[in-house]
Amino acid sequence: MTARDLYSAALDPRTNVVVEACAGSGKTWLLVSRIVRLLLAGAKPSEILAITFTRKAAQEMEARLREWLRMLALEPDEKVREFLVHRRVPPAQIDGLLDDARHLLEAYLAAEPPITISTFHSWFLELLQRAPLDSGAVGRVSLIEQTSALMEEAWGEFAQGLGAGERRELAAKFNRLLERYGLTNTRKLLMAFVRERVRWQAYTQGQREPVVFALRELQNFLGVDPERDPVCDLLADGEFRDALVKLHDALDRGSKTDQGHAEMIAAALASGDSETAFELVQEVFLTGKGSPRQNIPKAAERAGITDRYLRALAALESTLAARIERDAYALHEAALPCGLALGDTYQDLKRQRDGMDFADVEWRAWQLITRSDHAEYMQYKLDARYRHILVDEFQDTNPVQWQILRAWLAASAEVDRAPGVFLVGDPKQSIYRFRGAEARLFRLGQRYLEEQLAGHPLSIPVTRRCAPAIVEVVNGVFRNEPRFEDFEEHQAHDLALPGRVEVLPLARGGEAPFDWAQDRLRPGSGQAPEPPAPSTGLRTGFRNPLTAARPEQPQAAREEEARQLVSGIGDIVGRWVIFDDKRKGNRAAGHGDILVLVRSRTHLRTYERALRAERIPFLTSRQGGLLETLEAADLTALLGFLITPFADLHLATALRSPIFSCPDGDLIALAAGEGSWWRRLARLAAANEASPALARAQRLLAGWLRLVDRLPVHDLLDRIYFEGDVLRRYRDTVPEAMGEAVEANLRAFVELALAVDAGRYPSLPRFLDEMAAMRRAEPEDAPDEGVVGEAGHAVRILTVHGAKGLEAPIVWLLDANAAGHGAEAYRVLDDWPPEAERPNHFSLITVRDEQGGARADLLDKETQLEAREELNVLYVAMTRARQALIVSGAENSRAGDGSWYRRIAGALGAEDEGAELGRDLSEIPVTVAEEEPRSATEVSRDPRLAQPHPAGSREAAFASPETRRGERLHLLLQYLAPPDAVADEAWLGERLGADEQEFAALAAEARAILAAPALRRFFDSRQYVAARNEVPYMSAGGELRRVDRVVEFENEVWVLDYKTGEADRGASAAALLGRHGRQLDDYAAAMGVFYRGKTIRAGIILGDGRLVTR
Amino acid sequence: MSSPVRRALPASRPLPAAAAAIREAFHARLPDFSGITVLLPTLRAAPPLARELAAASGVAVLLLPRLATLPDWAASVPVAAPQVPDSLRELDLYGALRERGWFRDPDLWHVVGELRRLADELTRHRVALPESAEDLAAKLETAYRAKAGEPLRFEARLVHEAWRILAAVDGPLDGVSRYHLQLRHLAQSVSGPIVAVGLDQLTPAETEFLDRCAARVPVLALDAEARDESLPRLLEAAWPPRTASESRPDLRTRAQAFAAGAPQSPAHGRVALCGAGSLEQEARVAETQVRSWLLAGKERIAVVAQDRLAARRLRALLERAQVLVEDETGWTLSTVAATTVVMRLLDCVAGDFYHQDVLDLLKSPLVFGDLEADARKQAVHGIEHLVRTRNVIGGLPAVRAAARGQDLPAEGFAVLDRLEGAAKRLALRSAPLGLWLDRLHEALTVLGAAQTLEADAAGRQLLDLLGRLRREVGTGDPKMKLSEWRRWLDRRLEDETFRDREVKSPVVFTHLAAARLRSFDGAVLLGCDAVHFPGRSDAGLFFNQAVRRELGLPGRDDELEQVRRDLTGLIARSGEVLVTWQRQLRGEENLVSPLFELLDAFHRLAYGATLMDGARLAALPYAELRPVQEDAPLAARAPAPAPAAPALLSASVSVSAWGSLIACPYQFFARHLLKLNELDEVREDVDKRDYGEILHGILKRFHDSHPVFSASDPETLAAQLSAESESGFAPCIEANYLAHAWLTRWKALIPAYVAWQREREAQGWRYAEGEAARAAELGPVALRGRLDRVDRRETAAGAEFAVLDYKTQSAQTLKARVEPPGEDAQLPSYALLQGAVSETAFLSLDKDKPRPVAPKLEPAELAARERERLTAVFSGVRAGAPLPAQGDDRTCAWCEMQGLCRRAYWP
Ligand code: SF4
Repeated sequence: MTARDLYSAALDPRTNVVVEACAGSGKTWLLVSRIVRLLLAGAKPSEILAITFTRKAAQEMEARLREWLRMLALEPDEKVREFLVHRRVPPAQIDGLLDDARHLLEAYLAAEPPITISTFHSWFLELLQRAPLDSGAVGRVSLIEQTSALMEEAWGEFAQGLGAGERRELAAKFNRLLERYGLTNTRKLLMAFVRERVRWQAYTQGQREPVVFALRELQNFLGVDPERDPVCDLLADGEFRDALVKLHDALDRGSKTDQGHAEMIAAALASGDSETAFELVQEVFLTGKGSPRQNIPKAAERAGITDRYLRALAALESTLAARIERDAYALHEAALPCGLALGDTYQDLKRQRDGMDFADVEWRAWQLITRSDHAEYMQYKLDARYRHILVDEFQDTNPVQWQILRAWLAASAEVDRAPGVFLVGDPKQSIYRFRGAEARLFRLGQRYLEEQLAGHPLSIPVTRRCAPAIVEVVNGVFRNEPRFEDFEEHQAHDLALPGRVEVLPLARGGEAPFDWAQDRLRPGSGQAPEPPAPSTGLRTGFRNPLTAARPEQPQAAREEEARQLVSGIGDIVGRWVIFDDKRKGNRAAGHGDILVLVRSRTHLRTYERALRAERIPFLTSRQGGLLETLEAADLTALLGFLITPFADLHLATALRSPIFSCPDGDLIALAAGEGSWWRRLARLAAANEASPALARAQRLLAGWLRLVDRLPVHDLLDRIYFEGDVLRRYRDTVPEAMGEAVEANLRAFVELALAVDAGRYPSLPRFLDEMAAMRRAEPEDAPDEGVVGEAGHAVRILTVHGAKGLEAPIVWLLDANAAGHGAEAYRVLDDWPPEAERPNHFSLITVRDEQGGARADLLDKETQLEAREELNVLYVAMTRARQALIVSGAENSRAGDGSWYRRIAGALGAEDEGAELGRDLSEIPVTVAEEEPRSATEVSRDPRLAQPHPAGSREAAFASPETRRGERLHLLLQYLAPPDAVADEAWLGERLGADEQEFAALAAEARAILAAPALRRFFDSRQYVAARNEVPYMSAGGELRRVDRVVEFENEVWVLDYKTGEADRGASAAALLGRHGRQLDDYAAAMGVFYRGKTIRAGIILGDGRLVTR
Repeated sequence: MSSPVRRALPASRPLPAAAAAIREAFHARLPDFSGITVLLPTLRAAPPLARELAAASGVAVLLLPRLATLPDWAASVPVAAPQVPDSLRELDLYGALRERGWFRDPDLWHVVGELRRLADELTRHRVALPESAEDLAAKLETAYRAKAGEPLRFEARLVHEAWRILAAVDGPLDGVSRYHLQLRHLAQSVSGPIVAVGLDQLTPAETEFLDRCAARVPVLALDAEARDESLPRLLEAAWPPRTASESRPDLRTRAQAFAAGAPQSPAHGRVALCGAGSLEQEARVAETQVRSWLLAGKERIAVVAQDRLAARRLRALLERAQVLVEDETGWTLSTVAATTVVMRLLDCVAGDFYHQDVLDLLKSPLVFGDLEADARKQAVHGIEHLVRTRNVIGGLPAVRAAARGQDLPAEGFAVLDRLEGAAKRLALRSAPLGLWLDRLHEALTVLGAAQTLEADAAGRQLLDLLGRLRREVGTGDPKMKLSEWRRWLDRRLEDETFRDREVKSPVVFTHLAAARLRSFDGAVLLGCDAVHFPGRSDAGLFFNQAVRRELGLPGRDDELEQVRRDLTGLIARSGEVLVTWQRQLRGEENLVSPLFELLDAFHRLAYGATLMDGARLAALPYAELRPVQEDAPLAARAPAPAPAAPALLSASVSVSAWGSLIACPYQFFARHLLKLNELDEVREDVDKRDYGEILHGILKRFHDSHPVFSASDPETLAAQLSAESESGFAPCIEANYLAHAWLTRWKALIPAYVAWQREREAQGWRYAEGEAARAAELGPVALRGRLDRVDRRETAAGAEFAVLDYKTQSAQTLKARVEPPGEDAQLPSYALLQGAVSETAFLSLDKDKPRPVAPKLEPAELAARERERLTAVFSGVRAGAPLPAQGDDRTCAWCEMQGLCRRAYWP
């Protein structure tokens, strides 16, 4: 097929396809285009489900879709036509579809339910939220994305539980693990079990006693009979004993060594303890490394018992092997129950928080969907009915996800009809095995689609990203690679794009920078300390710490590579010329065009240090960096001081931070005092002896100390930032290259506080505890450093995994000569064939020596998969580059020919002294100028905005209990006074929000007022003409007022105001009138308008039944 | 039956028009409108309407009509039927469902809450369920268009059951039913005319009410919908009602038709959309806009926030500029400090006084309000100090034990007593809700929190809520355990909203619904991204949209339609509107709300111009509020510090201080001259440090009591040392089971240790002294140190000594440490301190056997060199030599003084 045909086939909305799309072939483009084609073909947005692996990818996809639909709605016809042509709409249909295309935007925006573009996990969560009520999965659930702190907590609780008496049996098992593996490894093993518990659950599902089941399976698999001890069997074996006796005799006549061995055999034969005996025998037959000793067969030969010896040796070796299996089995007997108990603790903790982690979500969704009545129910319970399912990055799917997807398809077919399916991915980019991704699913998916849904596979080997030079090297590396058996040579789409590949000479290590023999730095070894000052120079060769710094550990090869990096970047920026896609022209490269890739974070610090030293702006992907930065530490210290004022070091840190910038002299001044440093500071300030910096610090801190009890963390921080002018002071203090990053971090810190504050039951101590926990947490769980700027005029350093889905004009692959990392020790080993519903095997792995032979095949299979994945990572790394790929590495004795460096160098025909291919990018003519500074829009600059201008006021609405009682009495009077007096006491009590007792008291009081002799005539309807309660009116001045009671008599009208509050109780008439007189007069005047011709009188009715009048 | 008279109000100025209409209809009553009742969708619209009425009436003083919402009015009608509070209904249902065992306990409250909501909804919309669960199942079957499987039948059964329990007809009524009853009463007794303004969301019962009233009194219904102005007409054209979706012309046609009728865009200058790059930027854009409006003299400014975080950030920024905010939205009670105190107290009780909970509770200013603030802080600091230095992980007895014999201020003990007293009151196994609530109140009183809460606005609301709940639940069952009860309380706190009513301000934070009918000079719509606006459907656990429609419940379409109307109205009634959202969130694309995407597309099609306004972002730096400038020293870049502080150097230094100086003089300066220390953190797991300490103690005790090993049988010795070790570790294991690991590890080493010691004795060495204190006068300073172990050997030339230092690190690590000699201070200093030393080594107690690690130089040479260096260095320090910050990477990585030397910021 031509490329054109390929795309036509892939985008045809009527077909089911699996597309294998190489890096840079535009997977997202393809998938979103397919969505547009579906919509054009009449699919409703709610019928489409598109799944990706990260939220970021999902968001990008939706943004792209929206952008295109917007373009279709707004742009002129030619553009729309062109768009449709690109999407392979058959030419004959284009005119007919023009109008439809224009309407898609509105249809999409108004769709309800909307289109679903989401990650597997959020789709699963959505399913769970709508899950059948009898699925046991009801309830508010939130996704816990960061689990390491919780795992930590679970570990603590689990351990605490072991100390409790009831769990003695478990504790004994745990102790067995401790004895054998130590704390760290035991923990690692059990944590790994908990992390992989979905596999365990899948493995043991349907088993009533999972542990028993697993152990039984394992017995069979390992060939272990727990009833028998192979060592005892061996030692009891007559032939073996006989051989030993013969050997003993032979050795006894030999050399001194032989005789020693003979003695050991004798001791073994005599020993009553089989373990001791076995160890002795072992020592006689085998060296410490496990190979047969030389002298024994010689002795055997002398004695003519070589055969026996060999049989004995074989028996011994097989016993050893059997013992390894037996030990492995014993490990599981102890570890599985412990792992399960730890897992239960962890699950409990999550339940308490109404949360689930990714594994739970998958497991629950799977459980849900594999019960057929539930699966069916889900089909109609969801408001959206998917008719089209699209999956991106299909190679990253794990078996559970695949099972769910399949079950969903099957259930849809059952209920209605099977949705159309579009899977796109690239098995060459499968690099998430450690997260459970199963690359083999890709082929399986292809087969499934072909067999079940009449779909067909497509493969697109054309990259729109990489320049031909890059493609050439990629082909060179992978073309003949046996593990890439399915590799199809790539083609570059844009043949004219200039490209370059450079392999730099391997960086070589040097000696330690400090020469101890000579007591001096070796020449050229960088950061030279000051030469020793004569006055304190020492004769004896011990370093004088006042004059010479302790030299750094030698690491020269890596540092040399770091130097290659910084000087390389120096050469590139401003000189190399790259093609700017947006501006469609060649321009000089900037820092932001360079993407530096590392395989692991191990040596990042070294590279970062070098970049920092050269003031090259960079962004690191070191997650969790935020809380490790000095600025975050400063703020944490400051907050720590505010909540714990005796924390002197916190205070000193805050003082030294840019917030106060106190020099060391200030600290020295404080060090001389007594009591806590805060007291000392207060004393200095009070005595006017503080330096200006200290005085300012004291003033601000005292203010913040007052606020700390009253404000939420975020608001407190905001005040600190503002009053302390924190951002500006940091900007002026940190090295210029770091300025942007520090500012971003400071903002990120506030946002963190904001997020924590918005949580339930917040407090400053809790905030600080959480920060401490986050700092302790696994790096990937701690909050990220702030994102610098938008455009990012900085070099980006990412791991290859972090760079998946990204690209850059220039990619620098660092540390390419590292050895591949072997499999971890202490983990789960399983065998889950991609098509199977459950793993065939599940066991735990410790160290290499204990792996035994029974599992060798499985381990080998794993190694194969890992080796393939290792290459996938390389493929991903190389294909991030659009125009230039630079490869560097440090000399490394452990790196074999398989190292990335060697592979790429090999493809260029070079060894380790470097090579180049492609064009010199610095010779390409520039066609578009530097990015112009943003057109200076007329920015409104209102200088008044720099000043505060107060608005709003705070009136204490605080009411004492007495006042509130008064208010209730007031209200009650309104209800009890005629004409519409309320008789229902229960109703009144409820209305007042008072309990019975309270109400009884209030009612008695109110009745007493109504019946008070002085007031009688105002409340007895026989004595007046008319009365009304609560009369609201709008005064002449435009104010809303309310008169409590107006009573009309023959000749006069009384305007009455209830004053039942505490403040007025027992006040004199004069005082009351002084207080309320004007208000009364206003009431009277207003009522005068309505009761013309009558005398208006006004009075105050008091809680004690008095009437006060003018 | 006559029905209400309907009139349309113009969307952009409904209240003045309503006032005019009322005046026109009832001018005969002027100036007394007090007999009229005006019903409003929100009470917030009452004051402006009152003003409009006064203005329209043309009289000096106007007796106002009753201005109320329909529920408020109905509630003021006394009816004899008592109401059963929702809390009790949920409790009944909870009890019933708990017995069924259908759900896990933690989920149950959620299910119960949802069922209650559903039942109320059904009542409100007068949906009667079929008689039996089977009939309901059948109904659902048709509605879902599905076969009735087990899950469906279960749903039907559950809903039916709940409905049966909740809607019990005899006895007290639920809130909705009682409201309906009150409406019926009211309809019978109503006397004056009724005007309904903008009530566009009536339930069937409410509609019926107005109809019935209309039979007795004049009823005037005024609905805001007339498109008097071009802006609301534009909005209507861009966002046509959902009902008309089939027949309406497409966007482009509508846009062009609109532009043909209105050549100037009515939205231009009145509506601006601005996508910000970050939360901060969004808040800043809004803040600048609000303050500019204030400066321009605008008096009514609304902020309608879809995103709580952005709102909170905005509020803080405004408060910086001394612009207070009147917040009509409030917070849920569970996020205010007052409830934190209650929950932390419960955490303390439930979690056996875990130290963090205790300190958190004690640090709240809301407890011990009867103590002087200073006294409280002193007491708390005392306790915190104890907890930290004595490593108290949890448990009140443990705190007390630690306090014994320590100088804890008297208040500290009092605080502990009261904490214990409070805890006692909550130490119930299982109790009815009422008792729990009583006990909680008692506990709060004991802690002196009841009083402080009373004095705090949110606190008082909390107390009121607790009091109300107490009255509602009475004393009856069901009994609950602490955790169950906590969940219940948690839900109640979650459901309650706290509003700060003390602020009056031209700037109001409000909801879209609460803004109905009100006009603003300017409005900011914050957080209008696709996720937040119009937001996800909140349809609850049960059914789906199709079923809800079938049953007669309002659905998502109604929800969206309401949003559309409210939004159109708000924009029409506001002088200017700024819509903001974050374009980027966590580095991901974040799309604008579909409503505004559509509006902008419409506008571009009609006028070829976008409503997006990015220029505001560029203007932000010029609109920043400046803090008060002071004359304090400015911050500036500073290189690595090198202070001198001769006066702070005391007469003697320890070996560890000396080690610190060798590693980094500045670290020495901070630790030993400034005497700054990290606060002790409470450590929950045993680490190598504790292990080392315990081991040192065990070995000292054992060697003191067994000075010569060779005399005894090695196995006996090993057994004895094991026993000693077990008792040495016991307290630690008690506190933390994982300490076992260390004991196990050490016990495995014991036989080898015994063997090693015997071998040593065979070479003539004898254990002489453990933890030996030594000092040496060197001139400028005295050096002091404590030697783990000194061995002695008699030779012909007299006694010679060996200094051993126990280490738990591996021999390999230690080898790196003694290389090159002089980089580690310990061994040279010890050699110097002891004198006549012929051997000095670290003893690694790590792997399979003890391994001594010694530096390459002879001890005597080490001592001599060290003496010279010490003397020279401290002469220098005394003379004022600077102490530069210059640790190597490894020293710095573990140095707690990074904040003082500011290493990360050196240029
Ligand atoms: S961080 Fe490094 S330079 Fe700073 S004081 Fe500590 S050891 Fe010295």
